[in-house]
Amino acid sequence: MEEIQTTKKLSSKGESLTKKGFRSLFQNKAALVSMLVLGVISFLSIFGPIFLPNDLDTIYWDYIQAAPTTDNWLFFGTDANGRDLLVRTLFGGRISLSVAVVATFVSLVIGVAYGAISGFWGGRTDAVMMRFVDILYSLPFMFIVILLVVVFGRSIFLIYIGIGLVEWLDMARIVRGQTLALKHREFVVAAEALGVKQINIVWRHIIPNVISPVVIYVTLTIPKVIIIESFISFLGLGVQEPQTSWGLLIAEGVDLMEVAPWMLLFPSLFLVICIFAFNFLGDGLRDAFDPKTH
Amino acid sequence: MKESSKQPILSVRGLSIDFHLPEGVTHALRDVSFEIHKGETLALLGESGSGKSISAMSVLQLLPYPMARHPKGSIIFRGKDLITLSKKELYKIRGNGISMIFQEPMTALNPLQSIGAQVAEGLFLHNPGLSQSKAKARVLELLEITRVARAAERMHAYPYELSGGQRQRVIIAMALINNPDILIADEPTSALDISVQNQILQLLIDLQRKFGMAILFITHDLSAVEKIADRVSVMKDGQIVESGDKEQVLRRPKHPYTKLLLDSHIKGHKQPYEKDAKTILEVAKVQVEFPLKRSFFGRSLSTLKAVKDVSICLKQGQTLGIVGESGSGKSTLGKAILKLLHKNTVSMQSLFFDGKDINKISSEEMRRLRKDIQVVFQDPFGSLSPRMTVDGIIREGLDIHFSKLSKAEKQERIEHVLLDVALNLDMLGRFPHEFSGGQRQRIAIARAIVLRPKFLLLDEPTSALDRNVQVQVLNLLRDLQKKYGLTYLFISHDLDVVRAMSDDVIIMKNGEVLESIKIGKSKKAFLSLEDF
Repeated sequence: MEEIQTTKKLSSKGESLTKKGFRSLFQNKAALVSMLVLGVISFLSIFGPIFLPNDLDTIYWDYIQAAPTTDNWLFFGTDANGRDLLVRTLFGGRISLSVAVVATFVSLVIGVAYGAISGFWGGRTDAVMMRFVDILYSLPFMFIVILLVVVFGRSIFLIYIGIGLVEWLDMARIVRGQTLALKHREFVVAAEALGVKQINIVWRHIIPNVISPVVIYVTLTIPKVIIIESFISFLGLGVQEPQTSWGLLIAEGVDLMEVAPWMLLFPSLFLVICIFAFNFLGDGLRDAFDPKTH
Repeated sequence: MKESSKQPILSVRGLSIDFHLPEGVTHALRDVSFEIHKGETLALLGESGSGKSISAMSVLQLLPYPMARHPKGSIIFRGKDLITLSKKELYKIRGNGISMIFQEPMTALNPLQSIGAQVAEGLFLHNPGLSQSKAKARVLELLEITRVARAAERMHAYPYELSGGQRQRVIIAMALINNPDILIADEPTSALDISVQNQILQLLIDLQRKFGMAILFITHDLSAVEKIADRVSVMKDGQIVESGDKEQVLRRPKHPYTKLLLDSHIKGHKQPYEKDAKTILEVAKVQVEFPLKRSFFGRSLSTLKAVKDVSICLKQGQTLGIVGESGSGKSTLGKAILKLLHKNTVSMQSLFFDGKDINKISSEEMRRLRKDIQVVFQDPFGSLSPRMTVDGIIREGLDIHFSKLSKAEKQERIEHVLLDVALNLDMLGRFPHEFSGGQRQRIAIARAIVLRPKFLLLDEPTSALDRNVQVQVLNLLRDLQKKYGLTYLFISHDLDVVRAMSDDVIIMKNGEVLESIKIGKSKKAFLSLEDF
């Protein structure tokens, strides 16, 4: 059989897609550097505020709006109230990164499951499920957040829930659209003919094939979530003084951009670096788990 | 015959094409030379990947430059080398001196523009300042020449309103609007039904007689070459292995590859099944109706009857062929029998499988029964999950239906089935996209027969494959049938294939059975198939 001899070299047998995926992820330099950067920033955000001598709300009356200096460990300067910007930036990272990761994860899990099920079952199930999404869409986001705050009181968890509650709607729509296109592909019909249970068709044949658009959407969601969080906090419904987040720090920095540029520079630098890193990591993940790139 | 001793109108000399990709350089075409004279048809014959399409594309410089490069060679048209021509001069030649028609009539037209506007576009491009009324008259003339039915009305129609054959006529009209010297036809008939194919070929022949343009005809289809070509060049792996007059190449081939191509058709007949074999599948009065329009509450207002009252009966070891054009309902019938359609659309009087009434069984019972009823689809590129390894694909069915088998037993079965379909064991860890079409189809067959089914639905299993691969897969299917006593329902539009594979044939049209024919009994009866 001529046909068989012409195929390429053997690839090692039995290696799973997951294993292959991680191997090629670690070979991707941009993704590797991104993981390192995210790791370092997360580490600094978690442990920085503990080990730095200044507290989040220590006020230096002699250093109101001071430029970066080595006095008193004020390497990033101080804000309008004379508080250490380095500690505040790192602490802001805790809030922003955790909101970004948790809210995105929540939207990912709910959105993918909901969208895939709705699209695959189709018919009346689909109609009911998607009308529910439409209803949630039509409720003003701020209204939901205010409602949550009124009922449960102010807490950082409300931000997770509030944002997650809204963000999964887009994800569900995207995944549903992809699923509608996929479910008429022959390999899905073939799986049905093989006797695969419906739920396993969704799990084994549909979801792995919607990964590309999902990863792209996730990398878009992360910065969006960080911005939404700062907006909620800015309205006084989220993080409260003296606690802070990158979004809030940037908002304060923008007001004083001309007199104290460092107040804008440092938090936005952290935010930008993280968003770049998330994007590269997302691209790397998408390529790594696409069998066609091996 | 039509050959003139004068200068060729197009001559391609020593042309090579390299593709510079991030992974390295691919030599797609090596030292290809051919020439075409006025009024003659040169066929470039080859299988997929032989470089015949990129040769055609390079004539109009339509390749993705600068990724594609020509290290050597020239393409001389009207005394100029097209490779060195500026963009501006090329635009003057494209669609004017040389024009092109494509394989896929479904996608070669802009869905949002009317037919008339699309045909006129080329006219305005090369004749600036032409008046609307003159253009309209010319477009209508062309549509009539290419025999678009009801041309005057159709000028305002949109592509979706036309059938595949009609669309291909529109595309030919577009190509001919500026009276080109050369028409490049890249597999213009491959996506069409057989009867429509013949009409389009005849149209091209007639048009050539009328206008005298030269045709560069790209194809993999020997019968099309037979009908239309004056000369043939056979391509393989980016090179021309043999060229000459049609008679000489097709009747007295010299190169072994040409001989192989000419010899690639399925031979012999299926051995008849035993007369007292038990009935495997018996289905009476299948009807399939698809809703076209639904009311607000989901009731269907109008429906399309895709299958009307079809009954079939299959004995063990028998192969029933179903022949029909696209839209005849043959695939729908297969899917209905396998209960792969939405149950509201299908109704049947009775359905017995292996002596059991399965017409009204629950979907869970049907799911368990699927190990005995398997299917192989047409498109080997679409029917395998792109993110699963070959091992995962074949194993999935075993895990569902034979969960009691030990790991070693499953492994043994998988290895055994790979031998059956002539694939290597070390292919198990790879993904579908790493395989050729024929290999993928073998994987799909392996997935089906690893379950040791009693009945196999073969839905155009070879029509997406190259000719010699087709023969290999068909022989494999016949061998497997003999070995495991399988019963086949074989759906195809290819008469030769059906003749070689089946005991009996039914012909379908518009959802109805036109005729049933026994092949085994009389060879003559089958001749009536040719007329359909």
